[in-house]
This record gives sequence, structure tokens and C-alpha cells, in this order.
Amino acid sequence: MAEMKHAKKPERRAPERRPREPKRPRQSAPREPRPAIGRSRVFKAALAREYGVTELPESLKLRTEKTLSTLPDVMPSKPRPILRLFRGMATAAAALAVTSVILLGLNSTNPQLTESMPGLGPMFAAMNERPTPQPTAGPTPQPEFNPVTVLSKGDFDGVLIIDDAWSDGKSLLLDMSISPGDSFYNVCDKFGLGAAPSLSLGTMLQNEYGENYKENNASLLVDYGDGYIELGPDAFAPVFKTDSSGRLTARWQAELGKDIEAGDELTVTLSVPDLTTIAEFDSFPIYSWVSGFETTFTLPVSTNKNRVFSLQASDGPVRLHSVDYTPTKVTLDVSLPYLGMVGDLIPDRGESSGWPLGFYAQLSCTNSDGEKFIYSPSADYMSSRNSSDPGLSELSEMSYTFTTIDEAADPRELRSPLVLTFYEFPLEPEYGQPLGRVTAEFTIDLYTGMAYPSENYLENGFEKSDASKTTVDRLEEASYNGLLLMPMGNWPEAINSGYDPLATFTLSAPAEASGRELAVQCYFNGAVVHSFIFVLGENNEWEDGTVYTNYFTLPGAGLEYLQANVNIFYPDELANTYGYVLFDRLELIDPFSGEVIIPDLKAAWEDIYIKLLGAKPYSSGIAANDSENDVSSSSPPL
Amino acid sequence: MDRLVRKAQSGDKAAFVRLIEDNQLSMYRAAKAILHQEADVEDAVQEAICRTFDKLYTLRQPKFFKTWLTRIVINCCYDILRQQKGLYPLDVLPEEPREEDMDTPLDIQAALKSLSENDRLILTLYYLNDLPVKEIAKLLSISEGAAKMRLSTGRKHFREKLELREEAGSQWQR
Repeated sequence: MAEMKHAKKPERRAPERRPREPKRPRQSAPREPRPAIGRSRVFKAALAREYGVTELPESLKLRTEKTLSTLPDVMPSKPRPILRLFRGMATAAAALAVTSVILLGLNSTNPQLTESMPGLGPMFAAMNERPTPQPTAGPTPQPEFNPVTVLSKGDFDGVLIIDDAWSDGKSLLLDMSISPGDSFYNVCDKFGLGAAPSLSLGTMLQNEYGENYKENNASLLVDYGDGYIELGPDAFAPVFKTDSSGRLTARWQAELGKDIEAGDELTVTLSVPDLTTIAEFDSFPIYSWVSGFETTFTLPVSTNKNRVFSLQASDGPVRLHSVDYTPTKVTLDVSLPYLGMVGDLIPDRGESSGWPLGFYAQLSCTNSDGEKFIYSPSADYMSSRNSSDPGLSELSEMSYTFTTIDEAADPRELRSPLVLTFYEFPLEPEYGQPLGRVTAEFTIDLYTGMAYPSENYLENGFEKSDASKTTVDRLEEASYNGLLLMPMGNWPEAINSGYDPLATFTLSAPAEASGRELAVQCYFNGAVVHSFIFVLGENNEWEDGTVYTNYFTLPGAGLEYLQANVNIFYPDELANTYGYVLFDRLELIDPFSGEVIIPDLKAAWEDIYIKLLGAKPYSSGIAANDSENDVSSSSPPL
Repeated sequence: MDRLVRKAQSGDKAAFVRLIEDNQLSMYRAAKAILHQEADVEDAVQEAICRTFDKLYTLRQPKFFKTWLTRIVINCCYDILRQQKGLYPLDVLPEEPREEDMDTPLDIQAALKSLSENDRLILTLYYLNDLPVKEIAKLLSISEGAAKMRLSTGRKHFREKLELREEAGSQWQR
């Protein structure tokens, strides 16, 4: 294929300061062959054939033609300009009014700022009657960076611009943009990359299966005076994405791995030999250019927004000891009490079952516009704190590090206050969604170096946990006569499915409940139409259902629990009489005494969920409910 | 396409006709993923063309025309489903039998049917209509992660389905 002409390029130029080892010839790593189908024309064709939509039916073509011909010759168009003019004037007047209110408010709180405004300053000075004294000690002037434009030495039709470069002594941050020429967009059109293509560093190669893959060969060399830091392809891999103005931009940040002092200067040598564009969904590279971008530039290290202070702030048993803030990284030292284990309240939580409750921190920062940025800590903070940790029963000294830079934040801004919140359960892995109750929250004022307990979590619908209750207390409070339908391992749709099996659920109870006989009664139109009797602790299969039991130990409380997985089959006679229907409710009773233990299994699951996790099942992100994925049940509004 | 959308928005019917002609296969595919009777599909596409004609001037960003059009088609399909069957979920709708199914044992056919229904719309939008994941997620009111997961699952199901059919074919021949 002519498009693949850049797929192999044997030689690369490295930064000149440090000689690199000669590149070894690439070995083809043994790999599992990929499935034959993927995002390819072959797959598309197979799919179209399978769905019978390879081409438009002749009848639809004719009908479309007919429909189009019957439509009026004049299309409904946008409102007339005069109306738009009035609307525009109204919008402008409203904007002016809002701006005026904001400026007047600003004038009352910060008259220096309003009086220093070009044009409007004298008016505010006159309004304030006397000129407000200007602050004598202004903030330290921020070092500026002059953008660097790098021309392509290869066949890439475009330039790379280092729009901004900045360092707080711990990290290096580069804001870059690429202005490609028409040839780039021609390639995008050719490969159907849509209106917002992206560009990655590196070149496209092919493996032994003929599949394209990308190898990043870009590099950064940072000279800090006393030595060098080399950031290779793994650390230096920004992707240029099309922003709202149509520019291809990337913000890239890397930890320098050592603290560089204020006033030092960094000399950065950047080499981007190749650029590759990739498909959006599966990240397969599609086309490569030789860009040959190479440049060296300097930037000062700025530590004037860094803050380090010790403090003694407490929220209940949780204590915050120190804050080490830089715009790119925040480290907080905290003492946390032992409150039990995750697995005590959510037994089937995988690896995190053996982790302590209440150790899961989230940090939010607020910029001067009031915009909030939320961060989760680096994932390795739990590695030394699990159920086998002998020191866990006492106060644990923890250090949390948050990487706090993102594309929307200004790295030169002090984002205060910080809000540090601790949740009972690990944050939902993909989206960092908090789960459970809050064990502590601190608001940290970076201007004063003070921290105090706060309750911002209430606004987000969370409640505070009661540190005086053990996990066993909580399980007992949530249970129905010793029986629980745990938050995980139960699916609300399966508890009363309307199909076969009519119910699938898991009952949990202390192990001594083994041998207890129970009955599920299914109500339809107010009457019991089916019953299923079983014994906790048994493993059996019958004509009308199955029960399998397993035992486990609560990792924190040390108690032995059983889990009975119950399946009730849909009775044929009911299906023949009513069809497959949802029951009014499923009730759990003691078959000997007739005592109702759980009047409605599904409602009980929700109730237990809220009691144990402090959140409604469908808002916490862990409910086994897939209703949001049910396309058919909701019609997107126009 | 943006230029055509802008021209149509300013009242140029020829531009509108061109837009529809360029997109009618995508409209057909999206509708076919939801409705199974050709007559219903044609009704949905026709209704979508009329709605698009009436409402095109309200579209703020021409670059989202294709997504917007797809949403209209999907809504028209749901309207037809509601009229015909009430709010039945997709997975209980009957699928039209295919000719090749005559050679496939009944239990395999049942497996194929259950595998395919829920994946059809999302696979169509992504692979056949070339909509980006982000737009599909918006269209279906699901998260991007969920859209990706369903695409991945759909692709897997599709592969399994092909394998199942090949297996069934070889068993049948034995």
C-alpha cells in the first residue's frame, strides 16, 4: 500500500547531549495472534452482510426520492435577522448587567483590582471617593516562557510549537501544539478519522501478523546544571488532540524524580522524529510521517507556589499532620484509625476485601474561578496496608500523593482551598467514584497554612460514618433476624426476574445459622402462588430450585459467615397459567412458625444496601444494575 | 458536509436533498438495527426525513449533523415500536428468519438470536455508520465506558456467533 511507505525507518536521531546505545534490531516478540475480525473493512463487510444492510434496498431509494420530492421547495430556516438582532441586543444587555454586578461586587471586595483596570479604573476610583492604596508587596512576578516554534525536517507538513514550558522543581510541564498542513487533513479524510483527529508521537511499524503498531521514539533530555534527566518514550508520550478551536494540542507532565531548587534553570532538549495518527476506538495506528522535530530551550524553575507546612488538624479519630503542595503534586501525611475491613461489609469485593475501611482519599482543589478539580491518589498507597498487616489495628501513618495537574488547570495558580475527603470503600476504579460513608474531611487553606474539619460531603449526598460502631454492629443492625442480602452478589432484577429462574439471590448469615429452614413465598395479585423451601448451609438440586452454600471469614471481624446461593425455578404450571410474570413480591418466612422474616426480598436488599453503604444502590456505581445500558427502555429526546 | 448543512439551514432544499442522499444508507442501517420489518424501517426513515426537514434549522453545530440525524432515526423507530407493541425491550422482539438458518439446528439458532439482538444497534452505529464512541454514548444515553464495553462485548458476541454457525454447519454436514 502506498500509504504505508513510512512504516519502516531504520535510523533515528537522538538528543546530542548524551550518546545513546545503538539501537538493536527489533525482535519480533512472540504474541498471540489477534482475532481475525477487528475494526477493518473485512469486519465491516461481514457485519453488514450479517445484518443484511450491505446496500440500500431499491424500494427505500424510490420511497426516499418520492418523499424528498413531496417536501416543500422552501425549507424552514433560521429566524429572521431583525429578530436575531433584537435577541442579540437583549443578550448583550443581560451580559452587561451581569458584568456590572460582578464588577461592583469585585469593587467591594478588591478595590485595588477594579481601580487598576484599564479604562474603568478611574471610574471605580471616583466611585470609591478616595484612591485605594495599592499593595506595596505584590506577588512575585511569574517567569514567562517565550513560545518556541520548531520546523519539520521531514515530510510532515506542519510545525510544532512549545507554547509554554514550566517547572515547579518536581515536575516538568509542556504545553505543545501542532499546526499541520493540508496533507495531514487529507490523510484524515482518506482514513475517515472524523472532524477531530489526533496525533501521537512515534512511528508506525508492523508485527509479524501484518498488524500496525506504534513505537514511540520521542525523547526529552533535561539538563538541570548538576546533571541530566532523560525521559524516554515511556515517560514522554503526549497525544495531540483537536481542541474546540480546531488546534491539535497536548499538555504533558513528567515527574523529574528529584527536587530542583528555585532559581535553577532547566535546559530541555526535545526530539520528535515521527508522528502517527491513530484510530479513535482501538488505538491502532493508521499513518505515519517523519516529522524530525528537534529543539533545545531553557526555562526557569518556579517554586513560588509551592507550600510546605506541618499542622495538627483532627476530624474525629483521623489526624492530618502535614501538607506538601506544589501545583503539580500534593503529598499529605495522615493518621487513620482501624475501623474494620472492606470485606466485612462487602464480602465479594475481590482483592480489596482485605483492605481497611476508611482509607480511600479524594482531593479537590478550587481555582480562582471557583472551578473544582478532583483527584484520586496514586494507586500504590494501599500496598502495605491489608489484613495481614500487624500494625493495622492501631493508628496507621499514611502518606497520600496526588498528581494534581490536568489539561484545564493553570499550573501557575495556587488552587486553594484543598478539600481532603476520606471514604469508607475504595474508589470505583475506572471513574474514581467515591463509595460508602465519609470517615473524615479536611479543608486546607494554602494561604494561611491552616486546616480544619469540614462537611462539604453533605452537599454531594454523602453522610458521615459512626466510628464508634464496629462492622459486626453494623451487620447486625442491617440484618433481618440475622439474615442479610449483601450489597454485592445480589442483583435486584434477579431477585424477582419475571422469567426462569424466577429468583436468584444470595443470603448471608453467621455460620451458626446453618441448618435453619426457610421458605420463599411468591405473591401474585396478593396471593401466594408458589413456595420454595430450603435449608441454609445445604448444597442441593431439586426440581423446583437449587441451593449452594459456601463459607467465608469476615477478614476484619474474624467471624465465620455462610452464603447460600438460592435459585428458584419458574414453575411450569404458573408459566402455563399466567405466562412469565413479575411477582408482587417474594417473602422469606420461617416455615415452622410462619413468622415473616423478610417481607420483600428486593426491598430488603435495597434497605441493607443503604444501611451498610450509606448510599442508594443505583447511585453508588457498584450496583449490579445495568438499566442505564438498556437502550430500548429509553428514548433519547430530541 | 458542514457546508451542505449550513446551506440547507439557510433554506437550500437541493443541499438538503444531497445530505439525505449521502446519509440514507446510514439511516437505513440504524433503523434496521432496531426494527426488523422492512416496511417499518422504510416508515421510520421516511418520518426521519420529514422531521429533519422541519427541524434542521435548529441544529446549532453542523459538525454534529450525522449524530443528530441518527438520533432522529432512532426516535422514529422507537415511536413505531411504541405504536405497535408498547414499550417492549429490544431483546424480546422477534427476529426475521434468514434463509441460511434453515441449515442451522434450532438450539443453535436460539443461541445466535440471544447473542445478536442487544449488540446490533451499537455495532451498527460504530462499525457501519462510523460514529465515534463519544457520540454513540450521547445518543444512547450511556457513558463512554459503557459504550466501549458494549462494543467490545458486541464484537466478541459477533465472533462467537460466526464460530457457532461454522461449528453448526460442520456438525450438520457430518
